[in-house]
Amino acid sequence: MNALRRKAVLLALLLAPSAGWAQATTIGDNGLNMGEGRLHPYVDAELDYDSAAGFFGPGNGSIGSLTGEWILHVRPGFRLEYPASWVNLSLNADLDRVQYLGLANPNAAEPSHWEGAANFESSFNQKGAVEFDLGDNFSYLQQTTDPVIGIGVLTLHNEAHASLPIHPGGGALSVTPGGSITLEQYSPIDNSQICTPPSPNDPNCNPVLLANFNFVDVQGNLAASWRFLPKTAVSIMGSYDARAYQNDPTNAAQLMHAGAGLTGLLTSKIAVTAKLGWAQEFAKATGTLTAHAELNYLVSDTSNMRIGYLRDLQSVPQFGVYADDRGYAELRFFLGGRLTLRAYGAYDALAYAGGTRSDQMVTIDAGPQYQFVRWLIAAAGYTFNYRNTNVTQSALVNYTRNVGYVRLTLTY
Amino acid sequence: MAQAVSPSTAAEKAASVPDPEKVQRSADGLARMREVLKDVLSKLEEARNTKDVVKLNCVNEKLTQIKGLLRISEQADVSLQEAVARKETAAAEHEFTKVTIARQKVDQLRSEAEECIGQLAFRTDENLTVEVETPQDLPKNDVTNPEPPPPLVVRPPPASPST
Repeated sequence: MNALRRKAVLLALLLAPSAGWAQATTIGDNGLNMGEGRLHPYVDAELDYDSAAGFFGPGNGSIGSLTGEWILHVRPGFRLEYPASWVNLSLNADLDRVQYLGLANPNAAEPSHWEGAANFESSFNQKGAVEFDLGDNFSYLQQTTDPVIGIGVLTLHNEAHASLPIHPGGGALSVTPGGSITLEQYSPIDNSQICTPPSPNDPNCNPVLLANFNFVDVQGNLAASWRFLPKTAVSIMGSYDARAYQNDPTNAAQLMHAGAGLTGLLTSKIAVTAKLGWAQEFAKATGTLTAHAELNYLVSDTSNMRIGYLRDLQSVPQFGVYADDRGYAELRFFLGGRLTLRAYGAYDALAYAGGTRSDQMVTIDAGPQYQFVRWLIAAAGYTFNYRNTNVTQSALVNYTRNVGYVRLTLTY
Repeated sequence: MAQAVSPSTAAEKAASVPDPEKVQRSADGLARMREVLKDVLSKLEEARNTKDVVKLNCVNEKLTQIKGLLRISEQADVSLQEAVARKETAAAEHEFTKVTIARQKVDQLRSEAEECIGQLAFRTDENLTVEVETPQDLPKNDVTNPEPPPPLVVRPPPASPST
């Protein structure tokens, strides 16, 4: 599992008690009083074995083969929740020391680094007819949302967003205009070129050129939904993204999404998502049908099984846009008030604009989590990633990763 | 909808109507009220056929009031004729005013009975409540806003030549 996804799951499990299936793992009434809110400090330690930890050389300056390594994460952080009558605030923040232990390969300690993430959300006048939401997501992680990149990279990502949900009357009808500004900047973990054969002008191979992929994305969006049954709604949505790259004006993207669909219950146990739309990129005159279909079997309020298909068009450096066809399945079970079981699998087929590159990715992520007491939580898991591309000079993009991990969390 | 006539206004009008005409107008008023009674009775039957107890009760309430007013008006008409025969002007005006006000009120009740049948769905007041029954076994979560699939992220392996 990549770091973002694991972090997201961890936060959902431990730090977001309002999130459906994680309700049973709430921290409860502990925490430090902060006026009407509470502050929950925590720390977790995680030990990973990553079979594709890096290209660690033999010590003579040359690039070695992809090898495995033990990696230790020590992640202190805190969560602040402030549910006042006029505003609902939440802030999650953590710092993560990623230490390559060098146990499997003595030369593997160099990529060790710090990571961090912070997530702030606020909602004003939630019970009124006109609500105002403001938030910011910040992260500095060894990962990227750019699937073109084949080199280990540290990504500084910041997204600020605001919306104005309007839900008059009983709230069955909701209209939400909103917008966001996203900034993403890349810095190499190491400046070594590792493509075979070397391709110094390709930012995917030459880390020095990664700054060409830095971007700013400005989005405006509008969504409306009408809950015509207590748990079933129809919705329409549209968005427009303008993305500019720092050193690559030729691939600036103007991407529009528009769609409509139905979400909610078909029966008391079966929920569906059925959405259809169109995405159009104007700079490269590329458009495609978008879709999201999902069947969700609700075993209980905290356990479910879902299977789905997603097709979307996203902006990407170097090519402008790519289409992603994804099939996925997920199981989530919460048993006995303490044990959480989760398994997720997905297959992504990416087709880049221009038709010269296509990628395939397979992701599997499974593992249990157990809450011994309110302040002590243990988790273990296994993740599998397979990545393949048809571009020969980016041979390093092709890899298979197996990761096993154990994690212990102390929280107050 | 007919407007209600205040007793003082009706009395003034009664004073300006000659006694023989009072008798005639009173008789016309009674005839009119009996027509209204028949009409509202048919509406009661209509409400009964729809098996709508709310409509039925509504029309029945109006009908009861109309019957009461008609009974009062019939007694007033008899008293009016006696007063005219005895040349008791004040008493005649008083009885004529009763019939006049009753007729106006009956016309108003007829309109209300029509609303009971045809326009009840559009009327609300402080006594109106709407009960929505929701199945008990629905999930508590908001399934109309499901969690989206996770975003596509990649974590390419770093290189470390260790020179």
